[in-house]
Order: sequence, then C-alpha cells, then structure tokens
Amino acid sequence: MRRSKYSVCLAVAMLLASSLAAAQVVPYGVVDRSRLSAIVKDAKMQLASKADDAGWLKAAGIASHQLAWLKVDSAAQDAVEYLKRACELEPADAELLAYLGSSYAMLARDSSLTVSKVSNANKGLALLDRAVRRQPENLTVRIIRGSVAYELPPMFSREKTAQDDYLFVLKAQRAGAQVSPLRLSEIYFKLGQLAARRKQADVAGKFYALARSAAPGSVWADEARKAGR
Amino acid sequence: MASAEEIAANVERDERETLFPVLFMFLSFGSMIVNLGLISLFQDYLAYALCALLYAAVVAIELRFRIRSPISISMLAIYVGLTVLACATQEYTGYAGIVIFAWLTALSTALLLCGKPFTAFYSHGAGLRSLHFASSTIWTAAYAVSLLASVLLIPDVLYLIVPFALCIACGLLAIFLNLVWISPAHRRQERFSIQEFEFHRVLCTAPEFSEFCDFFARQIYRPGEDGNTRTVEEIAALVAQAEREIAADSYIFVAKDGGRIVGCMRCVVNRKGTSFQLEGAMQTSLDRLREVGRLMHVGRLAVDDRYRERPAVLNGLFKCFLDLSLSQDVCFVVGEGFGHRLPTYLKLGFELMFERSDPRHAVRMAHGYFSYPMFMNFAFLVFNRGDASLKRYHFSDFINPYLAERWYKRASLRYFFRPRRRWPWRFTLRQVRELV
Repeated sequence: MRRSKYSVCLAVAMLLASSLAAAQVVPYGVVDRSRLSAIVKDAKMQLASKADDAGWLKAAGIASHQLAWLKVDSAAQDAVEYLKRACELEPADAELLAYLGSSYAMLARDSSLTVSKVSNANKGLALLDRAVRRQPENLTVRIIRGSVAYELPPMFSREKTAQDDYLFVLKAQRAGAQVSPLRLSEIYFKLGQLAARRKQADVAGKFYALARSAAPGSVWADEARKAGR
Repeated sequence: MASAEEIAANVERDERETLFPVLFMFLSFGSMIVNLGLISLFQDYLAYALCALLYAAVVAIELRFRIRSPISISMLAIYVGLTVLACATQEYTGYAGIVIFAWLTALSTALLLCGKPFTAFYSHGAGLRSLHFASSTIWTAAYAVSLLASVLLIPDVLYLIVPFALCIACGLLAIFLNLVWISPAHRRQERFSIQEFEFHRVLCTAPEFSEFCDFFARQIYRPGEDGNTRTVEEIAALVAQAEREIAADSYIFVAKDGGRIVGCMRCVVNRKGTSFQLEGAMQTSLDRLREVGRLMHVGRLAVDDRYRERPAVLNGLFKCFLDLSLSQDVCFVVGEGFGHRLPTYLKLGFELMFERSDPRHAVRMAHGYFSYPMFMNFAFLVFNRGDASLKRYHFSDFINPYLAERWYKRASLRYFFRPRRRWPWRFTLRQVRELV
C-alpha cells in the first residue's frame, strides 16, 4: 500500500481546521508535531486519573491520528486505542468513528505484513462506511472517507466512493456549506486525478483548472498545474 | 545380482539423474510455498526480488540436473517482472497472486492439453504418466481455484489466505499421492489369477494352512537325504509349528489349480527387534545389514513336479513376493534354498550368500534338510529395473509399476541424505558378505 496515499491525514487535519475547529477542544488542524505531542502528553496525564474521560480520549485519539499522519512511530496504533475507547463511550459520534476508520487505514499503511495491511484497511473502510451511514450529511465524515478511499490501491475498488464523497462535498458547498478554498482545491485536484485514472482527460483537465482557481498558489494548485501538463 | 562394475557404472547416473529428480517434487513445492508466503506477507518489490532470487536458485539447480521446467523458468520471469513493475508503479499492488495464479493455470492447462504434464519435466519424463497426469491435473485445479478465490475474495484478507491454504493442501495431497496412495493400484493384490492358476495369501488360522504345510512337506520330502529320517507328517508338523511362531510377520502365498495347491512361497517381513529363523540356523546375525536397509526373508518355495514346466506358477508366486517387497519398502531379501532348487532361485535373481569355503554356505534347517542361504539386493533390482542385464530375471514383467514408483520415491527420500556408500542399491554381494 502506498505510503503517500495516507496523506489523507493532512487533508483531514486541514479540513478540520477550516470546518470543525469550533466543534471540539481537541487540536483539529494542528500538524505541528511538538504541539500534537504535548496534547497527547496532557491527555495521557488526564487519562491517568480519569481513564474514561471521553473528551480527553478524543483529544488524545485525534492528536495521535495527526501524529500518525506525520508518520510518528506507533502513533497510528495509539490513535486506534484511544479512539476505540472514545467510540465505546460515545457510540453515536460518527466523526469519532471516521477518525477511528482513518486510523486503522494508517495502521494498515504502517504494517509490514500484507495480511495486516489488508485486514486493517478493511476494518478502517468498514468503520468509515458505518460513519457515513450514521451521518450521511456530515462533511467531515465524507471528506475523511473520501480521502482514505482516494488513497487506497485499486484492488480495494474504492475510487467510486472517493468520487461520490468528494462530489457530495462539492454539492453541499454549492448549497451553502462552508468549505475552505484549500480544501476545495484539494478536492478538485483529487477528482481530476480520479478522472485521469479513468482516462477521461477532458474531465480531469476541468477539475485541475478548478483546483488552480479555488486556491491559487496552494500546494494543490501546483499539483494540478503539474498534472495538467 | 549386480557385479561391482555394474554398480560402479550406475553411480554417476544415480547421483546426477536418477535420484535427485524425486526430490524436485519437494523442492518445487517448498519454493512455491515460500514464495507464496513471501508475497502473502510482503507485497512489495523486495519480496518479489527475493522470490525471483529463490526461483533463480531453483532454475540453476534444475539446469544443473539438466531439467528445464517451464513452470520454474516462467515463474522466475514473472517475479522479475513483478519486481520491476513494483519499482515502477504502485498501481498493481495486491494483484501479484492473481497474476501468478492466472499464469500457472494457463501454463499448466496448456501443458496438460499438449499431453505434457508439467511434473514430468522434473523427472525428464520418467515415471508413470498416469501419476504425472494426476498430479498435474490436481495442481492445475488448485491453481484455477486459487485464481478464482483471489479474484472473488479480493480485497478481503481471505484472498491471501485461501489460495495459500489451497496450495499447501494441494502440495500435501500431491505428496500423499506420490508417496502413499493414488489408486487401488497402490494396494498389493491379495488375490489374482494368471492363466488357470489362482494366487492368494494363506493365513496360519485359515483351513488351507494345513494343506500348505502338507504340500510343502511332500515337496521337500527326500527320505534319508542329509541324514534326515523324519516322515512327511513330521516335517509338516515342524513347518506348521515354525510358521505359527512367526505368524504375525509371515505371508504365505499359494498357487492353486482347481482348488488344489500346486505351488507355494513364504515371505517374512522383518520387524524391529526380531530376527529370522534363518539367522538362528546360520548362527549369524543380519543386524548390520538391517542397519542399511529393510530385510525380508523368503522361503518355502515349492512347485508341484507336474507344474514345473508351467512358468505361470512360478511367475505368480514371484509377483506375490515382488508386490509384498515393494509395498513393505524392502531393500534386501534373504532366503534359503535346497540344492536342487538353487537354479530356480538364481533365475529369480538370488545369489548364494556365502562362498563354498564358508561353513555357512549350507545350513541345516528346522525340518532337518540342508539349505543354502541366498541373498538378493532387491533395491538394486528396483533402481535398475530398466537395465538390459536384469532382463534375464524377467523382473520387470511382474512388477506393479505404482508400487515400484512409490518404493523408488520413498527410498530416494529416505536415503538421499545418507552417505552414498550406505545406499542399499550400491551394496555388492562382497560388501554384504563382509557385513554378515
């Protein structure tokens, strides 16, 4: 499984910075390693005295999730552990479920054994699907699943899921939902890539153009420019 | 029995061609399992490169033994291709198993359809074609089912586990079929007919047992000879007593014509910790020979005077002996024959165990007559059954090819890793005499 494909975590972090920052006390959007490590450390201290504190579990889980994206050793495993416990305490929270699914996907990325990779990826996808079934309108959940599905190898046949989730986000954005330009640029670029994989060069070109115009000068606009050549 | 020169001439061939291909079944199976395991565990270019290296070693060994297996060579090419592909793109990650099983299915099916089962390539085409076809068909089916399972189960983790488990099961089945049983042909015939003669085993508890003892006693009865004053009845009683003592290991075969015994032969299979009655008579232990290979004792060979000109009787009894020896993985056969029966034993491939100058050249047996201890290197006969020099024994005419092939494969496995001087088929009569 490609290591780079789990750059979804970065996407998730940035998305959260734009759309969900107010929803949680936890460090959405933070990609600063030392800050994330500090949050995990704080969370661990809190959890040492209150092991079942859902808020801190969530904070530790999401911070570990972000660290896992930064490829910090065993962070994906930590994220799974924290988020599993958080999900048990808050079973109705679809976003937690989505984070847990994404963490499993990163655990798959970090596994050496193919069996573990496939097994963890499937576990993650199942959780992500469940999260979307629970809250189909939740854009965070959609974007997390879309990003994970986008990064998976073709053997998982999840390109359509990625495309559907991204198109859903775009539709919601057109209907008035708040999505940051950077996020939009990323989504357009990835939709362009998906179209290119289907050999639809003209469609891909249009998406690349949208990616460039959504957030000019962003990393995604640059990627779209390179891909469009 | 082979001369030292004959055995020496076979040495080179044994080492290079005869013995090793049997092990190729295991080498091929082992490399396939290791490779499938590797790609099941680590599907990346390093794993493919390791698989390619392993197959390069397999192909090199095969070429060393002048084997050109399309499976091994093409698998080497496929793994090299997968390595290059994995370095170039990640697009095909996870599909290695499908590619491999698709190729194996296509190639083995094509070879089968062309009448060239792929397993035959490992043995230079030697061995039973039916066995090759059976093994190759089973493998082809396993590849096809593995391919189907991979395609249907992907991306479930079972798409890795099921084909791997299927291939292991198929490998074990192939080993079982080659070394244990593939069909009723692998079973020794308990009862069969040649011309009008019927052949079967007689147990010591069977009503025919006393008839056998009487028949044998009558056949060997020579009043006053060798100073033996026993009557036919006394000899029959002694034979019956001796046979009952070894009943658990004894196989008495009789030839019948119209329900009447016209010929007989008795084989004793050697169990660990037991010895033959012949050893007592010779006052010589055969234990050192037992350390080399499994022993069997043959005796009580007799054919009714009126049937001595009917080769079918002796041939049928010989077949009983051969099938039993093959089914019991016997390497050496010892026996004792009366002076007037020696030509018959010699015709069957036996040789006198001791020289005339040796006091054990002739020994007095329990029935009171002198007999001549005989020896046969059965392993040599099986290993070299195609040799023109052995044709005079008519050995190949009665051999069960399934049992012979199984014997051969088992012996190859059992003895391959032993020092070559300890391979039973290389033992000359002189070496045997030195041993005993």
